[in-house]
Amino acid sequence: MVKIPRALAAIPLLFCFALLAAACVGTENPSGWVAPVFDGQTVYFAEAHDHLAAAPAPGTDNQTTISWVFPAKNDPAQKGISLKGIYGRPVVDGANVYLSSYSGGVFALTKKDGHVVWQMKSEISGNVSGGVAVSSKLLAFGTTDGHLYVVNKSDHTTANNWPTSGLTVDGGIWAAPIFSADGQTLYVATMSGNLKAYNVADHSEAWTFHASGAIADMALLDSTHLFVPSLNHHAYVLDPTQQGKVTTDFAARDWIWTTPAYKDGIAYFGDFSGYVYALDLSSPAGHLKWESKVSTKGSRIFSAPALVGGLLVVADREPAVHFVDPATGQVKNTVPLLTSTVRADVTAEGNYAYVSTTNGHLFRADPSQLKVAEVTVGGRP
Amino acid sequence: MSEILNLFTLIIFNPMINFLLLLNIVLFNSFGLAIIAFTIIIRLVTFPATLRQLHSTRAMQTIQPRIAEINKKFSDPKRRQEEIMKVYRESGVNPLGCLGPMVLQFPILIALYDAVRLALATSPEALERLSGHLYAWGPIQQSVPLQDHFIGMDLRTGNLLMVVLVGVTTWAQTATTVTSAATTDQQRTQQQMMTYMMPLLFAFFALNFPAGVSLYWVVNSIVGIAFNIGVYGFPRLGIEPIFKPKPPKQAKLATEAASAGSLAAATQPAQELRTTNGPSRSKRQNRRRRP
Repeated sequence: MVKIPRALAAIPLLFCFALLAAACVGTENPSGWVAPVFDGQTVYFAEAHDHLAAAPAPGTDNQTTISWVFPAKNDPAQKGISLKGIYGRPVVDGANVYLSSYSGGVFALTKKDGHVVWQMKSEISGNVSGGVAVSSKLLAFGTTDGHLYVVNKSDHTTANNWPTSGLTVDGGIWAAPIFSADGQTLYVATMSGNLKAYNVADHSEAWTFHASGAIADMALLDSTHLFVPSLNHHAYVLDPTQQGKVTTDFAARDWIWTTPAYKDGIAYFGDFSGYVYALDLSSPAGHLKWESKVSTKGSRIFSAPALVGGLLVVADREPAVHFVDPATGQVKNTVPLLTSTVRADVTAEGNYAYVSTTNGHLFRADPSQLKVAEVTVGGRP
Repeated sequence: MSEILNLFTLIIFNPMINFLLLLNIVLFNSFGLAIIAFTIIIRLVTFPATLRQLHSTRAMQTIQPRIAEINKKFSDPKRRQEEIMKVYRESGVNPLGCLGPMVLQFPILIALYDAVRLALATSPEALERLSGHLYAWGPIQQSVPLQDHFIGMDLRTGNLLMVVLVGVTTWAQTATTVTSAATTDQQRTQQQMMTYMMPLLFAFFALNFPAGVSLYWVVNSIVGIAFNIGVYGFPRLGIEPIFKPKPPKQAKLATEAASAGSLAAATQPAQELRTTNGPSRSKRQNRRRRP
């Protein structure tokens, strides 16, 4: 037999399998990141990337046991629900928990046992990679293909004067929308770099701000400070009471994809270069108080830090948890987590900060001891 | 291993992905157009290597009948190999000539494919991963995430039309590559299988590809078809090859023949050399005849 033609015939197949291998190695499927949320004595956290769990807040022994998981495997009513990933913080409001998922839709669940009160899926165009916003009567969320939905949170019927099929905006919505404190205005950011303020009463546009880079997250710090980070390395602070006037335009070293911790007019946030910045928003143009390379390895800081016990707790993608002095930016201690990674915001609760990893582990950081310990979670399905 | 991957990323992958994003900016922020232009440019840049590979493949196919004849006539593996090498020398064919350029193009094609896939950033995690590959140049940084629709098609999700096009263009490329030089039934069967199995295989893969990756594959195949026709021609439509191979240098051949020297047999007809086992018979066949 002649060997060469056989070898030639094998080459396309080899190429084919190499492509497949490359695809398998490099694929970044949506897996989600969701920060733990506390409501009184209950904590809601991602038990896995596509499951939300409710459990009593960990006690002094740093242990808890899961009360319910959504979607529940043994509940016929929840069979077939696939979330694929949870990116937005669940919102606890009244007797319900409102939850958005990447491809499973938006849900209202009972706080008590995680049963579905209502679900929106077929009505939604695109995926939801941000969270939901809730006002006294309404619920709003956006989708990756640029549709903004505003519904009555009691029964998910479309809010008055809003289009049933969603309001089309100029780009994908990855950040959770935000209602103003009085519920009259809705702020929506797009990956095209626009931030729009809509009058909730009639969905008319109140004002628009344009950043030159995508806006993947945002936070309303108080009535006059709307924090808008952008992938163009800038963090903008707008004054919503002045038609979105830019009061601070700060250039960081890399992408900013996180909201800040905020106290006494100072905003603390990190960027993808591993730096953390402290901006004094009470000063006229947002004076930079300090900057510190918290992650010496240069790991991306993807999650919002939290102020607890007089320290700033920062988590990076290494993953590691850093205890930082908020006055100077000096790192007091760094604790590697040795599992998966952290993209979710750090949550402050009581005297501790809680960090959730992408593989469903929950850690508790104790600023008084400068230590981090994993919460022992029982009752995992 | 990780050093090799890092080097691959630094030298091939990162420049490619940034070039792709630059094209996206130049081509009116249309990522579909950027994919098309990017694929064509990269294939043109690697054309010299492709040309060598296609010529070598063609030459290999041309000498297949002679090699088949040698295989029939000679049973001694060493002698058979010598005869085959002689044919290679006479024809100016390097049996590994088609492998070298292929190996050279391989990492580039992999990087091309992966660059398109990553730039699509089909999930928030993918966009984050993309950030690690971008140059710190304002327009590049500000160009992501990319516009994900092209002629009414969402480039991030699968598209049935693109799956069909992947199958059809892969078939056309295979059909214009494989010629009728197969000398045995087995080879012919192999070629036929390749012609039909490859498109099916890739169409199957394309079911899971984002449409943007399928678009890359379709354009890549169309360019491949054009190269095949340019090198092999298309006899059914009376198209002559544009890129004809250079004839082997006679002087060089003579030198090689001399160096092959001791094989004075090189100048003798193959059939005359077959004396040990009888004409057209192998040792095994002879053994079988013995009682």
